[in-house]
Amino acid sequence: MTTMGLATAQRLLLLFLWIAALPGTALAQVNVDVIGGEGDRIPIAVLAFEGDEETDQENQIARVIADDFRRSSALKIIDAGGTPMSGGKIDFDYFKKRQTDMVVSGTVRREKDSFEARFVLYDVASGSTILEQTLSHRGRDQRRLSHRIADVIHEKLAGYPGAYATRICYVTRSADSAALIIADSDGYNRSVLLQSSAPLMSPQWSPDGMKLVYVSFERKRPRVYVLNLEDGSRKVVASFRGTNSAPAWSPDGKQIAATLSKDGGSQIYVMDADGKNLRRLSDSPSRDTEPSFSPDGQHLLFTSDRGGGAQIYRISLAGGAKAERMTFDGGYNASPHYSPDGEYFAFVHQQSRGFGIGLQEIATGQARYLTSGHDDRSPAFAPNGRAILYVTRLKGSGALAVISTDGLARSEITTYAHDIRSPAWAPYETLVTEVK
Amino acid sequence: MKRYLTLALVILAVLLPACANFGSSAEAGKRSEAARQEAIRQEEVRKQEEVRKQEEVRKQEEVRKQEQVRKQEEVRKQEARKQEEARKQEEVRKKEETRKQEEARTQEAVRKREEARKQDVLAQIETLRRQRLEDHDDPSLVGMVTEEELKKADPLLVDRRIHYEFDKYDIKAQYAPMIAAHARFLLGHPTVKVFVDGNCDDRGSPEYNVALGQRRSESLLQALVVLGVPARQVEAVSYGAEKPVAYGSNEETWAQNRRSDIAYPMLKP
Repeated sequence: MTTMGLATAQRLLLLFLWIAALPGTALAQVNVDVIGGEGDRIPIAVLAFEGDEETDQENQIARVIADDFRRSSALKIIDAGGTPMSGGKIDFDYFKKRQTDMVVSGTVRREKDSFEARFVLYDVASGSTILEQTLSHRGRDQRRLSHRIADVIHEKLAGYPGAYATRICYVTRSADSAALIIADSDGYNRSVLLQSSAPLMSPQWSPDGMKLVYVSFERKRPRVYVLNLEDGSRKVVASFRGTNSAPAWSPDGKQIAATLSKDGGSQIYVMDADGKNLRRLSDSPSRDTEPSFSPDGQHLLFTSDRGGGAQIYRISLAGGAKAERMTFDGGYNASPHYSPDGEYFAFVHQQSRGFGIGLQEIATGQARYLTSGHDDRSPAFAPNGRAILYVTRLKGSGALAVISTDGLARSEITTYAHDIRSPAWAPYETLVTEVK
Repeated sequence: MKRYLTLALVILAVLLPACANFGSSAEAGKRSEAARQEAIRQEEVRKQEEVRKQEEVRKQEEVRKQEQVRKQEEVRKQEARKQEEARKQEEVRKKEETRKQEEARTQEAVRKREEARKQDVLAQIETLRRQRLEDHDDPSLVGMVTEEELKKADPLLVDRRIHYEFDKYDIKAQYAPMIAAHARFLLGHPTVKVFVDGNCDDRGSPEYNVALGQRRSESLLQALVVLGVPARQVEAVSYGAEKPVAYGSNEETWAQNRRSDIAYPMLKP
């Protein structure tokens, strides 16, 4: 390499580092809009973990935790800055001056095939320890351990756990292929579960997180499949004459509801998870689809055009009572998804600008519209019930975004895929073992 | 004048021999010398004549030899021509043989190709039959078609797409002749089963769009059934907004994607 070439390469490298070091630039994974309620957020700083110096910056524990907290409407990340330590101790005065209420510090130790992290949460005002814990993680994925720490701290401060140490899945689409992708909740650690030359849609996690039910168009007839994530095997569970679509798991994972056209039209049926014991749930001349089980397994929400436009209805799975209309505002409300506690449902609502994500409290019928994008859709609840993952349109293509259920924190998940559809958020897993 | 000249000549002719014998006795020696001379001269003449004759014979011989050589040459040439001809004939024969072999090979290849195609078609039909069984469908519905076959049956069959207005699923009158042509073809080919699909523009819920697409495909199915096509020969499915033919967020794109297609089981070439 010539001297000039070397100089250029160094300049490029420096430029790259400079960009990477800037918060909120194009290279940062998390793009957050703080919509409001800034004053209610707890200001918190996360110090670099001891023993984490060798890890590349993007994957350092403090960085991953800080990025997670940026997506929360309960916390506000304060840049730890220059010299927060003083004589091996945390310089609380330094943080007091920076209006920081909480500080996290910790150490990490690497074994051959595992990590162990000890972390402490301090209250800056009193200098006291609020939380001290050690977590270990088998495997090589330090990000997963970082997300677990973020979940624990988040729960202590906000009163509910984060959903950071979880996975999501989604479908990517191009002109001649589709793929089912699994990734961490922040979009990292992407891997392809399935690749197909025909469209894929509507993946839904089984309640135990071990299976995905989805729709594939690999045959002329759209069919419902169950993919076993443990061994990669898959099985057709619904291949009735016509269209088989919109599958949903029952909360016990023993049944699957789906929309079938076997008897004409689009009607909701329920079957055992292996496709047996099919029975019809809805019986109407209208289009009924998009079933969502209530977490107690007593009810089903679905979309129907029985009243003209698309509206959301509820039926009792015990049978008997007729469907109850849930939405009345506007001419198009669809894609209902029960919150994990069963008290709310997320849905798509058509507004003057286009389609946005709404959240309705079932007891009161009160609806709030969380987003007002031109084309937001396919809402999926985080397992903690505090955030909704959905598809928005960025530069003409589907992209993933997350909005907190209070509507205060909205972030986009970088996926690097051209066109994203059908996201689903996995239930909690127990991949990190707590030792203390 | 002429007469005198002739007379003079006659006189001369009579007188000349008389003159020759004049004074013979006196000139006897002279005469024998002359005779000898004459003999020598004559001998000379004879020899010359002989040489001349020999020369003539030699020449004749030469000519004969040349003639012989010429003839031999001619025979040789003729032989060569004959050989050439034979060679050419052999060549033609060989060419013919090669051509025949080539032809046989080509025929064999064509036969093999046809055989392979037949096997391929049978395999495709078998795959279709298995799919039908897997889908709990009638396994006798295994008729497959090609684009050419459809075209030959009715040029209208080349067209297999209909478009809809926004949020509508009724079939516009302009498509009636095309749908009638498909109905005729299906009635004439009772083992052919088609899928009619419904597609939407990509706005709102993808799953709800699948239900909307189903309305479209079922209205097309109904249009075929009304024309007498057995329902078992048509299956209505929906792809919602998942199989767009145009991309973009504008009315033109949306209109192109609001459609139904009639999908025949096509033999892969």
